[in-house]
Amino acid sequence: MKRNVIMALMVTALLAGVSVEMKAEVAPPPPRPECKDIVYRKWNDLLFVDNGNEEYVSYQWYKNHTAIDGATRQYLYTQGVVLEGDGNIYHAVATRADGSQVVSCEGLFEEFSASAPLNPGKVVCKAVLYNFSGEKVGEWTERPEQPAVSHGCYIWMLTDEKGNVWSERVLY
Amino acid sequence: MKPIRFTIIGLLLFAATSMYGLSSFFEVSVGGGWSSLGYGLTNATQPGLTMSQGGSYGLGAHVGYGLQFNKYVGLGVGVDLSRYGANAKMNGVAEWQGVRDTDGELYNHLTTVHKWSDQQELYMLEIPLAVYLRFPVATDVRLYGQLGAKACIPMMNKGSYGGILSHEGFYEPWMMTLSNIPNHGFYTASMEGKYELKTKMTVAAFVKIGVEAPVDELRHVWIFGAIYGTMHFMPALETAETAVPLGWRNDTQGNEMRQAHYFMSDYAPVYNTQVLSGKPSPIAVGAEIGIRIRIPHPKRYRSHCMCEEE
Repeated sequence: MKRNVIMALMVTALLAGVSVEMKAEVAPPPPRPECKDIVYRKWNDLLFVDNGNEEYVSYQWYKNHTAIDGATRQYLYTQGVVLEGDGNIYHAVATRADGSQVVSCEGLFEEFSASAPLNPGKVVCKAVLYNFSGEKVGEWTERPEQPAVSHGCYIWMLTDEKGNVWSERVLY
Repeated sequence: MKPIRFTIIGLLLFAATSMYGLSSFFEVSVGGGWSSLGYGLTNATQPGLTMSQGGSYGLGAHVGYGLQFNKYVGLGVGVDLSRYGANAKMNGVAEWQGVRDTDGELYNHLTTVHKWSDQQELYMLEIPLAVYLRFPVATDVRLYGQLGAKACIPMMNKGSYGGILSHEGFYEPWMMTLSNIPNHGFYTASMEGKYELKTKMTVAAFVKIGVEAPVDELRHVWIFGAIYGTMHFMPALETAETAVPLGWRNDTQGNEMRQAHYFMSDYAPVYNTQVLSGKPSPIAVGAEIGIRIRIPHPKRYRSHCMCEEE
């Protein structure tokens, strides 16, 4: 009789342990911190974290939720690897000086905002080239990389879409 | 015209010596020291760069003919071959603000210049004309000084440059510096090349102070040593009418780099850029050693006795 009671207690304890383990396996993941839109894309191969407030001191980049080895700079760039359209999910974790972290929102490369429209350079709408004698050499609607001119010093008079005019001296 | 004039004067001196039996000599010397093309550098347009022009070694060889009017005063002409050099050095960061990258975005382009060197080497054929002054200071030892001018004709030249450049982009709105992205214009590379100098004839003044002593009993052969200084009064290099900004756009990196660095000038020799201060007029100081060979007087005979030497 005593032996039967002991056996019953052991079986109950074993079943209770299994039950505890099973509960641990199906426990829900801890809640993710709220993500912030701090990642922008540039060209077709670079993602970066906006640190305009000089808030972050270190970074870690993730691809498909896995940390990328050595990707600890403010930007994610791998020579010769185009990120646009690669189908991978990217995000970054930025760390402040006090150790607190900010997790970026994740997404495909093309889902991040492009930085260039937010920080546009001057777009040349009119480019007039003069030689150093003041003679007009040519006029273009956009600045050519290498105008067909003889070797020498020239002055560009450039106008952007807002009508701002500036000059640049060049040697061809 | 000036070299021709110098040559004519030399020939006249030689003729005068031969006709009137004045004491004369040939001399040969070689020397070396420090030289410079005389210009300086200013970082006014690129304050992040430190720059200097430290000169280079100088060399000289001289062959001349001298005429001694009396114990103290003489005149000499000759032909010199001289080397002058300049070595411009730059280090630091050059910055182009508000330029546009190939993505159309505004940024500041930073070029870190590491051990940049721009060297010019100039060989000149020179025709000197000088006054000699000699003072005996001991038995068989004379102190001498030489003061003169020379016409200088550029013969050969060589220009070369090289160093390491690191291109980076600073994006102020994001507080981000991009580096090591070669296909977008941010890379580190060494750059080197050669160019030809555009030279021109100059006129220089020179001074020498030295001692001379005979090496044979007949006092026909003398050795001498001197220190010298030479200063050109005109630029030996033709500089651009309007100096171009300093720049390192590099053709050899291909069209993509030209596009990425459209705001930057191709590399031009420093003496043709806005960092030049002063004029590239050569100067040299150094020491020389040489040998003088006295030319014996032509023998003259009295009319009354053809067999008796003077």
